[in-house]
Amino acid sequence: MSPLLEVEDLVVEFRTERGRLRAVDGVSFSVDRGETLAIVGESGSGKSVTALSLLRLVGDAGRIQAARATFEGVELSGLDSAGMRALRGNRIAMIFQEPMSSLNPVMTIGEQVAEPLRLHKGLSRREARAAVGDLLAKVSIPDARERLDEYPHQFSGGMRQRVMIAMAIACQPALIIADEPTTALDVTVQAQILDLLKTLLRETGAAMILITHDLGVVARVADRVAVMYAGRIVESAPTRELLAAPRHPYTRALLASSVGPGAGAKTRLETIEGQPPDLARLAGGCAFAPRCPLVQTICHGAPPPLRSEGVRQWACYVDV
Amino acid sequence: MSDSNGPLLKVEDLKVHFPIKGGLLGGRTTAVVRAVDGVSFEIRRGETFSIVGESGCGKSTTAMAVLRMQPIDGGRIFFDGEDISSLKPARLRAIRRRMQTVFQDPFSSLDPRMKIGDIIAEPLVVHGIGDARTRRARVSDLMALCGLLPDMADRYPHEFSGGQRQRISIARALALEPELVVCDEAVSALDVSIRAQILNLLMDLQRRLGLAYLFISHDLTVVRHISDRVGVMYLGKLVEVADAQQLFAAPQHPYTRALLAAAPTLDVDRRLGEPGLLKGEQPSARNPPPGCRFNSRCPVKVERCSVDEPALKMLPTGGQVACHLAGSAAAWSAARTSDLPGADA
Repeated sequence: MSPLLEVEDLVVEFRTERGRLRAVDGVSFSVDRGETLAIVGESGSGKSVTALSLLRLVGDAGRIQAARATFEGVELSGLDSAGMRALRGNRIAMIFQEPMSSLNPVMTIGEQVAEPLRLHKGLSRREARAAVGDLLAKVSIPDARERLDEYPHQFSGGMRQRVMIAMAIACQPALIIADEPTTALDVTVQAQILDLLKTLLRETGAAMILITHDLGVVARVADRVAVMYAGRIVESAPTRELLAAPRHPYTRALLASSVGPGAGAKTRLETIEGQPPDLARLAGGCAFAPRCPLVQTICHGAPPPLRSEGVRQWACYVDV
Repeated sequence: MSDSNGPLLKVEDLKVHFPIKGGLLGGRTTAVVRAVDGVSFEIRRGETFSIVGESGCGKSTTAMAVLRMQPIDGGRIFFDGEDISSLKPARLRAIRRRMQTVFQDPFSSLDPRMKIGDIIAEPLVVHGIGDARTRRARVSDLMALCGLLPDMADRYPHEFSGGQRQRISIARALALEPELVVCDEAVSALDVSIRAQILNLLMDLQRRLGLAYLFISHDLTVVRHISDRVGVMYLGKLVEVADAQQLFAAPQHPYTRALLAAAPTLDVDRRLGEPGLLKGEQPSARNPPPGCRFNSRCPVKVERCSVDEPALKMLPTGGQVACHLAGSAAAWSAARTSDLPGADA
């Protein structure tokens, strides 16, 4: 069976004051049905733009191009804006970082969660309201049916994120794109939300693209990981393999500088020297070369192609 | 008054209350949020004391009160033996030279219209220290100390990345040679690779300059790394205070255990449906539950917990914990068979 989502050679460029800036530079990946793929990277790595550009959510200044981007067998670039709208919030749903700014403050919770059902499934007001009660109960909002007429400000941060998740699963999407869904939440609530997401994915069979900077979140929920640096995927592998034995020097450095539970108190951390790259001033060659501890002459030539070994891929000239 | 053997900072029963205004024209106080409600701790010279907790627990308010940037409603604060809780502004100014701050967001805490050399020199100007030439030299030294190239002094903040801006904030904080630096979520906005650089810098500076840090953070992994001692705060109270090693190896308070259980780790085998995830969220400090403030979420609560508020008490290990069940072997072994956070760890 073909993958649920298949993306080949995705390029996203933005026009800026400083010229054209390539935020995503030839990214290819696929997501199988029911699978959770984490896209990991630091600020500016292109991880959010990669996922959001598929739904044309990157604004007018962005130019999106891909050799191929198919979802459920349909080429996304062939969709007109009505076709894209029919997809968004329906077959592909989204969850964002900040539920307060993604919820409409002057609409009741009940109306908001009902919106995708009324829009995509043509439910009547009454049918939608009943369905919303079930959805909110499903995401473990206490007294869900009594709270339909409340407004977002009456919900806590964790409860608002539960509302976002209820909206996302309302139309039984095949794919959920979750962009830093727990980053704004407290650690005890973050764990609850991740567990909820994982349970719902298992129940509904939906796939997820999880965009995050946090390898701890990846370890908790992802089946597979793609690590991005300066607009490219530098390594991808099943989560367990990647965390146990990273191949790319950037992945290794990222793991080493994540303060793990094993790190002793008051010892120096391993760091990645230097600063993240400036996308407007990338030299040729591997973008990580200026910070790489294993850098060689060849790294400054052309960007390293992806190497494969079984289910693993990484882009590095050096054998580690 | 000064006692070089005593603690650098001593906080006794600190209280900060925020009135909630209501009624017609909002002129009447209708409720009080006890953001900090009887917090006591000490920081020794050259050590890092961290306060960790979730949003709204009062950790930042505690820091602001220590700096006297937030009026207090009770308790006392001693800096180097001197009670600074009711100092007159002139004397307070002298004390403030010795305590400086690094904030979370290096994008909003640096004036975008000032050159960074001037930003770092500003505390020296405000306190009338040196002349233009000596200040320039001091700025160069501070920049080098914090890993910045001194010839960048004429640039503006927008030319720097987040990590470099935090280095600028640290250089500014060090200009007056403080003894205590309050770091309020100082690395929380930074990317992982840059965060490690700044943590290393803070630890290097502490060794070289003998600084004490009051480190405020929600991030347990960071706290574990940088701290000598840690206080865990929940709804305006410290619920546990202990040496960092001890706190992470053998947490005593159920809330500390839950925090540790919830913290993300790189361990793939500890991923799903694990025991110890707390239910619910921290209640509002406006209306804390009676008795122990944690009782509404506590997995091991007993009847007494919703009536009596437990005080911080000393443990044989040297740590302090505010829990009726602490030290009670029977209660803990009973809890161990239930879904106590981290009990099987």
